Amino acid sequence: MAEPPVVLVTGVAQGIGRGITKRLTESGYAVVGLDIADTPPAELVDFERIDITDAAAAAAALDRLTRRHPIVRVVNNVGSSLRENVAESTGDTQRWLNRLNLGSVMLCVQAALPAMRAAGFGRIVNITSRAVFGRETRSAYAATKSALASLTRAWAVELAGDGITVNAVGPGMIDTELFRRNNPHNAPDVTRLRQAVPMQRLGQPEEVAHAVAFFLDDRASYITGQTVFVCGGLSLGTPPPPRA
Amino acid sequence: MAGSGDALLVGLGRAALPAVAQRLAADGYRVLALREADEAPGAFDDIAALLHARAPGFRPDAVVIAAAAPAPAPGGVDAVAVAALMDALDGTLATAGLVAKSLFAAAPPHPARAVVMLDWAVTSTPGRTAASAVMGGLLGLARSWALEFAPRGVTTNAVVVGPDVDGARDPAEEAWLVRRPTADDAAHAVAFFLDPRSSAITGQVLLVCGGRTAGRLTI
Repeated sequence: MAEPPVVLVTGVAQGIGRGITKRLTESGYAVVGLDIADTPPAELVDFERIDITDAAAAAAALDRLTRRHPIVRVVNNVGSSLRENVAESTGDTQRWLNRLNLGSVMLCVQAALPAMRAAGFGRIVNITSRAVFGRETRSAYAATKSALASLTRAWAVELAGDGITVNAVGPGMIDTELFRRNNPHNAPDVTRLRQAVPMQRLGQPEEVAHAVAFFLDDRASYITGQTVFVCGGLSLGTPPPPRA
Repeated sequence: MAGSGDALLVGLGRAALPAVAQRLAADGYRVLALREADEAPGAFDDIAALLHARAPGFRPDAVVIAAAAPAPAPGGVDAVAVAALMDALDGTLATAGLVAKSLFAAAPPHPARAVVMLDWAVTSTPGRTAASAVMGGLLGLARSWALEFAPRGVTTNAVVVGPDVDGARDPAEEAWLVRRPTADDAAHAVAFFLDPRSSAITGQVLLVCGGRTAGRLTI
């Protein structure tokens, strides 16, 4: 029996990353993970605890993982967000999110590219956000996600000739601990968005994971540079009709 | 086009906007261009103070922000040094955020119009990882400012400037373009967004591309 295909997933300890790990394992992948927290999901076949904003330490951990596993599939999930109005910004949030949401992606892609090129095959899935279209109260976060969307399109073209697809999944309001921490229930911007979700509910991590699994699939071989928004219709920007 | 009042051109890093300056001056604006590279380090962290020191009495109603795109790294994404990419992102995005804070989040009167000019690398452009990231980040900021500053009456829009006219390509290869865009064409789009009659237009992205993005997914 063939070895199960390996997927590297970053930010596996909680929320969407944990949901992705569970789903990909159920779909027959061997998932190797990275996280800053020492509470990895039980499904993982390998794990490195690392603060990925420490680029040197993260590169060393990635080097160990790529020596232990043939990694040609990467899910760049790790990321965070912080509520911060422009009026209160000091630049520190932007600098931190640049490292966590973008530096992490660069490190993982560069670590996996040699094996992908050698195989003439690769799958890169970047977790962006509905906030690529802009988000008040967290412009620094939206900037990093918009940058990742831009990188997704650019790399799709750059790497297409090597058989590597690069796609993005853009979650909307997903029921995670990060979401709850960043979205006080009665904040005006949160109310505005919650009421604008046509499906009138939060999404679940496994619903995001389903889109990730789609892009990772060998049969998704002619799809690159695309984004699927898993947002209950929120990206359409049109509130649902009032209930009768 | 009717221009009046003060227009501030903010060049992050080494960005310069001569065509925009010329156009807005011709439209009747009083134009002041500040370029980060010409100022003391950190001066753009409080651009209102810099403005006050440099030109007291200059009260910008319109602000144009542009950043120089990082140069391509030979070798593509593999060859991009992560530390250099972080420097580029910090230098542009963190500084742009502080410029916005200083100008638009201040007590009134504050400027009512912002235009962010983006390099072509924000489109699906291979081989320019750092520029794609920086310009994508600026786009995210512009769209977020549109939402966050709307209650203050500030419009924020983005203009994507088509690829440089380098003269290297055979024009016949690009016969499908209506014509190659120039810096003046981009300046015209900027002037449109700054016009007081455009005060209901915000959060939009206009690609000045000669038709290069017709019939394709853009951004």
